[in-house]
Amino acid sequence: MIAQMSQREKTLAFLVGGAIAVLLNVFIIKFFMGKYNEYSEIKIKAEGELRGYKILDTERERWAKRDAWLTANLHPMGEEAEMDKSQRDYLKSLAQKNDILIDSVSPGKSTALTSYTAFNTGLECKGGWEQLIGFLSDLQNQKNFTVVDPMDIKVDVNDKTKFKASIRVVKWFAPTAGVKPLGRL
Amino acid sequence: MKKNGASHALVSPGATGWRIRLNGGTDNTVPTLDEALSVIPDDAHIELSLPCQSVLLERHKLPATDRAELADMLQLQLEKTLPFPVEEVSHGYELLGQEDNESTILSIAAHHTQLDQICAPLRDKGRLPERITLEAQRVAAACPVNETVLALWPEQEQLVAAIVTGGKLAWAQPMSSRDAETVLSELPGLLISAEIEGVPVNFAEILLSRQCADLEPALAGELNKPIRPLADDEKTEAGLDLLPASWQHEAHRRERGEKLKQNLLLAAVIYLVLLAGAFITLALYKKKVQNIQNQAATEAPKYAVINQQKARWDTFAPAVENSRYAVEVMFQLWKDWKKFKDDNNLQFVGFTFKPSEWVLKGEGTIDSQFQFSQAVKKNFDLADFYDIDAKYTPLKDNRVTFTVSGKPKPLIPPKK
Repeated sequence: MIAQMSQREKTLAFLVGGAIAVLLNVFIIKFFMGKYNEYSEIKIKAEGELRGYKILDTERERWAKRDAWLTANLHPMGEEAEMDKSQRDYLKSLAQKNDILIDSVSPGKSTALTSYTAFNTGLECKGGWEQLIGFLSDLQNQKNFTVVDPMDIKVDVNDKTKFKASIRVVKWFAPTAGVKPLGRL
Repeated sequence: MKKNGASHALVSPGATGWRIRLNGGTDNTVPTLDEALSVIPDDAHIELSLPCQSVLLERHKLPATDRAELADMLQLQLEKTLPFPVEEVSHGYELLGQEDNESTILSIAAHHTQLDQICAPLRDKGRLPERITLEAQRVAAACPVNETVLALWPEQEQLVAAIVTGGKLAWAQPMSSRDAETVLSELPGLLISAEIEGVPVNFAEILLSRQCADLEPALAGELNKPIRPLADDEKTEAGLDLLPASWQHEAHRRERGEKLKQNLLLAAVIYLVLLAGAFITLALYKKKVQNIQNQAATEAPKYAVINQQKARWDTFAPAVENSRYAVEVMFQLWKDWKKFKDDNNLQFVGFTFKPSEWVLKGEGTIDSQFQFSQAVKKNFDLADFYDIDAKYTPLKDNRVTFTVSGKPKPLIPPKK
């Protein structure tokens, strides 16, 4: 068939054939590289998991100890009303100690979750930056199981040296039975 | 005449039809050239030996001894004597003798139309002969080199009579029939014509092909010369090649095409091998990855408890990890801010903290915000635990509002 073609037809056939060959190769290389990259990603992930397991193996004792520590130190909340009173008193005493002026403390409310029971108390206060640091430092220590979520601090418009803070103080307790799954606090 | 290890097929006129001799071995006889191809291997180089009746033989005396000059003179001579243009023939000559400034030659010419006709069955199937020779020259080459002989042999239902001088073809003429009566009636006249042309007819003996041995008694009685059988061991090479130049080009083109085809085939094979290799490698890689995946999946249950313990600690991290405390973040930011206490260009606007993210908002010049952001990013007590990001929005007079924010990184257990 090629022998019967003219030179022009041969050139055209060569160009078309070459273009098809190049496209085919591009497709094959793309497919090959795509698959190779896909497998490489899976491999990296699986190897990462295996490496993670090895690390976990060396930390087995540590995590067990931490879990035991959480279980031992996470106490039940008790009566909500009593908790509310003691928490408000506690916050007021810490504020007084750190020279923080409390504008308002809202009544506390508990929320039961799978991992813990959260008791939330809203607090509006005012003070210097260092005083706020002192207040929060006393508030947040390891066995207190207390987080601030959220806390919003702004410059006091009346006294630029002071800051106004709106804090929701959340204290965590051991979970109670029949609670809803973990979500937002 | 083997080339590149391929076989050689000599196709020559037989007593009837065509005779095929492969690599100088045993003969096969076929009635037509069409059928000859079934005997010839595909890779064989074909040499076609023409029957005497297909060529024009002319004896010339030319006033030159130089071969180039002789060729030119013969060209002119043929232009005069041939009944068709000389461009349409393949020709050559056999040098029979030279005296002083004179040469006696036998010109051999084959008309291309005749060659086309003979070779059509071969060409139609893309099997061009690589050489075209004359069978009579081949027979002559098998004759004794020190005497003049009359050789007789059959060619495709005819009988060829040739006078061979010193192993060279001096004259040849086909006869219409092989029967003794025709031969005895035609041969004397042909010999007289030859003598008139100047061919030495005083041959010492008659060499008769075994295929027409039946003529021996008649010839012995008529010519009174000793008769010997014609040697069968014909030389495979004859001096003259009558292959037309255009055929040679066609043959070269086909050869090049064939070579290109082979190279392309080789390239295709290499390509396919590489392709197969690549896909085998990919398959092996996939298998390896699957093995690692399976290993990870097998290991996973062993670490389910420890993962749960870790997840529980992560949940409680905002309450039990110092680095996640709001106060720790405020303290570190305060340390960085203090470095710029004398810089009136930097102003605090606000700070928001959640366990999932903290954001410091401020205002200042573009330089001061940049320096503060860099200071925060380089504070490893923050940067080790949070992914820190700094953004700004331009205001007037080279001032900007900016935010520096942090999102907690996964917990790294302390070494202790």
